[in-house]
Amino acid sequence: MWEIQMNPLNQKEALRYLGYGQNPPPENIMEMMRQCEQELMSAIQPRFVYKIFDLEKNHQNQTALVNCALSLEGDSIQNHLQDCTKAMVLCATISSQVDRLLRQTEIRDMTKAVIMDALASVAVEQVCDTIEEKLAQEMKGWYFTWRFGVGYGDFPLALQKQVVAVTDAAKRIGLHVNESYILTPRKSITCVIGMSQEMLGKKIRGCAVCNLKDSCGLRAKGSRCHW
Amino acid sequence: MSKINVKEMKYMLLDGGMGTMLQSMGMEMGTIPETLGITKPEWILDIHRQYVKAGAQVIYANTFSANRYKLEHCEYSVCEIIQAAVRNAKKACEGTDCLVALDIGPIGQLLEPTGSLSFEEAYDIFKEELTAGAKAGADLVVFETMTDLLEMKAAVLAAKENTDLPIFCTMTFEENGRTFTGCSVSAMALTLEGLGVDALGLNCSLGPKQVRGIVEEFLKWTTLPIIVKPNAGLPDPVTNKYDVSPEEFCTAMEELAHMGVQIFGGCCGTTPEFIRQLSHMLRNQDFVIKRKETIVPAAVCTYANTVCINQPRIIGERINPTGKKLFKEALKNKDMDYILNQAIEQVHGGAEILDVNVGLPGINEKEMMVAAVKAIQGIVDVPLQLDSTIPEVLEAALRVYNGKPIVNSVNGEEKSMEAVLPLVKKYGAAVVGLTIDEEGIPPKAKGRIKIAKKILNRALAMGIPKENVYIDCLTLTASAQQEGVMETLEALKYVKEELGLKTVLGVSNISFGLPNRESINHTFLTMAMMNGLDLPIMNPNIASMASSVRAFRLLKGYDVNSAEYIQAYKDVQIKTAAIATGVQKEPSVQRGQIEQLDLMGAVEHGLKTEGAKITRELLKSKDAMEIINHMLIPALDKAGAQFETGKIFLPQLILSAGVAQAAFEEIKKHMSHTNQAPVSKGKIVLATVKGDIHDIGKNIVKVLLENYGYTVIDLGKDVEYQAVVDAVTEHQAKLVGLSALMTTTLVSMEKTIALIHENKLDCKIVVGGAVLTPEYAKQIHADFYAKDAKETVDIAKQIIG
Repeated sequence: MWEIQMNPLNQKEALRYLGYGQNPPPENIMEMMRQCEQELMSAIQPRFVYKIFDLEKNHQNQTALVNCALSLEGDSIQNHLQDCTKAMVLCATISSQVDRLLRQTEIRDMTKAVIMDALASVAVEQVCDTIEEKLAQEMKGWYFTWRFGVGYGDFPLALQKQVVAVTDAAKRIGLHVNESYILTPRKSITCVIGMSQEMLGKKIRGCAVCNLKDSCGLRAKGSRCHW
Repeated sequence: MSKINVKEMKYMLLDGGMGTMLQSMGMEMGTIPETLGITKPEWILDIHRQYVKAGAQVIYANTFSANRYKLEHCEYSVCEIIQAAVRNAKKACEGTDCLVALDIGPIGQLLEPTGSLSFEEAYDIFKEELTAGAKAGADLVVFETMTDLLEMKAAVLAAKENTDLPIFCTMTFEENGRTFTGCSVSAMALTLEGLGVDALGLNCSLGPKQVRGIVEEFLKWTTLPIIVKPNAGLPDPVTNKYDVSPEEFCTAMEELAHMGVQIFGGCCGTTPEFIRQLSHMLRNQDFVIKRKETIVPAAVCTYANTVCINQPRIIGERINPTGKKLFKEALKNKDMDYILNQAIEQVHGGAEILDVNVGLPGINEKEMMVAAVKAIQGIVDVPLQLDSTIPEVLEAALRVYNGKPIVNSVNGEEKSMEAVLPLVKKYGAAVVGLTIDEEGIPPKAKGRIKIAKKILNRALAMGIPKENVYIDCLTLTASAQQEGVMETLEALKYVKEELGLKTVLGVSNISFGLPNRESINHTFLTMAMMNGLDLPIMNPNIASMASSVRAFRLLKGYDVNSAEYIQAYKDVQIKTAAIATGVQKEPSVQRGQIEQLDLMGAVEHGLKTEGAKITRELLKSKDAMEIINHMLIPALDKAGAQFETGKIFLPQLILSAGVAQAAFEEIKKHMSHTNQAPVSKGKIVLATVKGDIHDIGKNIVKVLLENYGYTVIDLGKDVEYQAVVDAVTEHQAKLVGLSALMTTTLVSMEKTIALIHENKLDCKIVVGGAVLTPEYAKQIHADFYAKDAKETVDIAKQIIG
């Protein structure tokens, strides 16, 4: 396994999370963002664990992971893995030290805390991007679907526990799930990535399958969170 | 039960992996391995017997995950599983000297503050496992694969308080010498040896070649036998195979044996063959344990930060309500943020340890102390000195403290020593001994030294090591007892040099009643350090005080190459007044306009320091309510309107609110100085509902509401339904705000609301959170839905005014 080098954080993306969209933020906010990034970078400890499983059709003609206790419930994940022969279950976190820094920052300065929270969300996504890039290099000839998050679409959030169990993520990277299926440390991601040796067509992704579509502030303003 | 005396044994050999073996026997995916003790006892017996045959002297019963949380959906109870597992293991040992360990792993949920499991719940879960294991006849208990020191502490206390089993503890470290949660080897060793476990070390995570550095750390920090039970290297993500062979494993372990490790075994990926080779190596190695005697340095710690008392270390004194009106007010309102701010400020000022005293007549000190300790250790990394006159309060704080703390204090009175020292011993803390007894403070050094000796001897007799006793020779005020100053210092010097103990002294009292106190204080501080003071209790936010300590450390040569001193002062211009730490450096662009800046302008531009300054000026001529109603609130309204129309965005809105907050702080201070009742438009209870731990949204709402003049009773996150009801009743709040971020926790929101209605409380409920919709809010009988913090304020205005 390799170590993940953190790239500078994508500030534009963080600004989008903060609602700025294309609007340029004032200089004092940008200055805070730079400070936050610096503090965050010293707290982040990226860790990840993944397992790759073969896919098969089970007796109900549903796609299933071979030799794995994680069930692929829901039309959206079934559809997502339609043309795949393998699937990767990936868990990543940027560590509980980040949670601690966020708590401390909330006490010291709420403005910075909000900015830092957005940056931390960006950071964990970037960690996943890096992992995917590396894996793509290692596994020449394989095509990946985008990362299908647990709880996205109708892929039940209640499967968090199974995802963490099958990857042994508690022991391997310190990732846990609480009774409400919330991941701790907070800035963590669990997802399923489909793999195929054939080129994969673009899968639907966006507001239509999103759980938050009825309450999304971005959507209300005519914007969206993905590209 | 005979205690296992590992120290007397040359070595001890534990078993190898269980999971690895079960997988190779064809355990089905998704099976809870612990159930196999009942469904396939022959498999478990077979594995145990293989390890016994290979030469293991202790085998781990198949109970690693047999806790109530992990067995939630299992058809067997914790007790049934543990009984069967211990029975199987004992059966496998029949006819041999092999011992059976009750094996207990992490619960599987993170503890507060990162997770939502409380220390008390964790204790209870472990207690259930331990009671069952002891009853089933286990010979010892092993807590292994832990990463959170506080979880380990809950486990150890549960074992100590409910069984007589010898205790082995191993945690899982990464190559950097820390666990996932950041726990260091020194912190683990200091804390657990203090709690009285029998052996400690590491398991899992790494292969035997990578643990050398970690073993070296253990050798420095504990006198206990050291356990090493590593993996067979690292697993491959696709094949799941481990990469170290039994031969390589054994060679690496042999080196560790020569370093002084005494207890050996294997974790993931190791098999009976590994243990057989280890056994062979250990038997035929004619080695005498070469371990040098370890002298553990005097030190205290959090889970992540160990502070050695090998040079003067600053103990911050500010978390103490004595003589502080605002602090008392904060305690009455359970305003934890106030205390946390005090903690952060002092750490920024240079405090290396924080004294925590929350004693105030009329509040529940025990409850408050526990809450304060939990909250403070959740955000700052400095060890705490737990300060109370009530033993029950001290014990409650000692339980939940994550590391090795200082107890403040015991004194030479018989009843004090009887009440406090057993607690210090039980929890492995350090203790401050005050040189005062039934007769009062002896005027002369001699008398104080006598009390110091008495405390030391009593501590030693109880098994508290000398390095954990810190003596306070007591500072008297120079204005009242001038001749006493040198007596204190003389006693201090003797205690340090002749008794060989660490010393502690509150320095600020010296100048009481004199003008220019600061000068007296830091001169006395320097004199005391010259006489051997290790732990000054002081205000680190007074620049000259902290700099005296730093300068002393530089001049004495502790601060090698002056690195720490330069780091602290490279950008700083020393001011004579208290340093305002944590204040944002504000952009220079707007500086030019400050001349004509008014309060509204300061709020608009997010200029905190200026906002506070202008408010101080305004308070000289204007009434507080006038400032609030005619300046602050219109300014916030303006920012709110700009936010709604997309002219400014969330960070700027909060920034403006932050300026208003600084202005409010000034108003509060002013009211308190002039003895006026605190300003408040009314109380609002806020909570992130049970099960949910995402509370940043709620915290944003809080900042905004407070800056509109409402008093917010913040119950935090993961809040019990009943706690919301209790708070509304107690504070007679007219409005409750509930937040939830996840679809899964909306249920908790609904239940909280139902309970509020059931209790027929006269309050309105506003709800918010990412997944909520106005329709859903209506459906769960909330009175209002707020899409953001700004809307919550509008609702508060409507309800409360």
